[in-house]
Amino acid sequence: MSATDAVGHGHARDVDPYLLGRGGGRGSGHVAATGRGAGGPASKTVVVAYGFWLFLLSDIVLFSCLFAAHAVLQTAIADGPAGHELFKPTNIAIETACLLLSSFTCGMSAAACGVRNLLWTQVALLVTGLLGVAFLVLEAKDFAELVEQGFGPQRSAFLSSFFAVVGCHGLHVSAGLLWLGTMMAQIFVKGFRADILRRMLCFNLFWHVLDIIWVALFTIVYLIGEGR
Amino acid sequence: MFGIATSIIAVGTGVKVYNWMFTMYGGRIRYATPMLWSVGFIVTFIIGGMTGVLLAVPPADFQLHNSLFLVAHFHNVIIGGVLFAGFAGITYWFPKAFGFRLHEGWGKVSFWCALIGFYVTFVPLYVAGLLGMTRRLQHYEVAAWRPWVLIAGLGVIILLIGAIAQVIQLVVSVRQRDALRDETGDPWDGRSLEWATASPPPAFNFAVLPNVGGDEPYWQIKRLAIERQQLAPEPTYKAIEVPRNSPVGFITAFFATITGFALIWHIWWLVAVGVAAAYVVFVWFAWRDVTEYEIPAEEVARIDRARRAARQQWLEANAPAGGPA
Repeated sequence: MSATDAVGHGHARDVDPYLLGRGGGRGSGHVAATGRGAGGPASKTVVVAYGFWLFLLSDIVLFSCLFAAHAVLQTAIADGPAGHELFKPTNIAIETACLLLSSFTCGMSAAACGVRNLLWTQVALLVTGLLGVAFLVLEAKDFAELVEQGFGPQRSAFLSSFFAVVGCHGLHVSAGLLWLGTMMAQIFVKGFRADILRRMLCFNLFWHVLDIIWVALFTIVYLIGEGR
Repeated sequence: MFGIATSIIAVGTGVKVYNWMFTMYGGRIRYATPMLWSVGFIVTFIIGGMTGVLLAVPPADFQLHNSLFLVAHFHNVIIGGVLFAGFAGITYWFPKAFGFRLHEGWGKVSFWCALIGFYVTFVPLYVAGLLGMTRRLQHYEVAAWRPWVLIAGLGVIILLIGAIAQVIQLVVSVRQRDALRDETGDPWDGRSLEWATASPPPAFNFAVLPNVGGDEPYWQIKRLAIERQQLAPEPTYKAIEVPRNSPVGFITAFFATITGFALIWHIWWLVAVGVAAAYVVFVWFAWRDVTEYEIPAEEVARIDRARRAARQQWLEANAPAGGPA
């Protein structure tokens, strides 16, 4: 029994103006939908980006839990140091600048990718990576200094949650850098293939979300923490 | 706080109970094994929920905390809510996944033993809890508890028989798989779309994508076929592209587990090994050039025609006595 014959074709064209339910979207390796009639599976670009957004949203949920924990524990300093005694505004400002700039250059890499310019894509990705490394080095130095002074995650609930939320973001940036390096190598070896372009799209989404999380982290951990 | 959390859970779950019942309402209930498990689940879960809602009252909660009453409540929802529903799901979708049904007789033995065994085990524990018995006692010296504990012990034996019956059910089903084979892909006369394809589903799931225009597309197709006494005309089969199989998920999970283990026990070199290995596997996966393969139209047609033939046979075997309606 075929499912298609019993049910009339809906007016998909009217309710789907952006052709999300159609095959052959931009960046998809397939021009024709594999389904029948006006419908058919969405293009691979749509499917891949949708799946990746689901992952990103779950990651944001994870971070929101860490933020909530930190917001509650910010004042639980157990007679240890409070945020305003530890944070170095200049360092944090430089870290933030690095990350925001890297998001810009990451956007440039997407733009260069869009016009299939290999050189500028690689340059923009390289600068993104270097800014990311600079961010990580500064953060690692901050962490090392804190631990050296005896203000590691074991000192107080405030510091536990501080290291958890900032460290988790740092781990994400590290993973992102590994991905970025792999991405550059793939573009170098394989060129702008459809699947490589889809991965670039996902990488861009990932990197920008890390930036958004840093903005929230900056606000909750550093701005509000400074006042506590 | 605990009282509020408990109340919040109770309200949501109460709504769920109504939606399960309204799903059945107006339907023709057939007491095959999955339905038995489902009904057993709803009844047991309601009882467990009601003993749980008592715990939303803080004075009662302070009294019942750590008592066998709490243990009985907890198992009432976990066994009734998770296990029974899980067994219902396994029995229901087993033929879809493996191509043959589970043995009904042994399934029913298993269900009745589990249901009766459950109540014989845990209802006495409610009583013992109200008599003041706490959990995890190495020994006790209160004579009043003894009969209840003994009855619970008898219940455990019945539960054990149920568990053994389930193992037997699986073994018997595998050995009699040819007799229990699901040829049509629709062993329960189901309503939803998964029953529109063969059991087990081919790699491409559906030979042609179902065109969903209403709430119950498959039911509509089936009613139409029965009414006309013939299947819908054969669709034009096209080649279907499917992803290649890959063990990468499994291998990465293996190294991720090693990493997690090493992190817990502070074995830093092993952390490095686990992460590096997972990364290498990831790059190896990302480097593949061919990620999909195409199932040719003839192959799709061959598989779907076999299913259609089985359907046609089923249609003729179940034809209404007075000919096409």
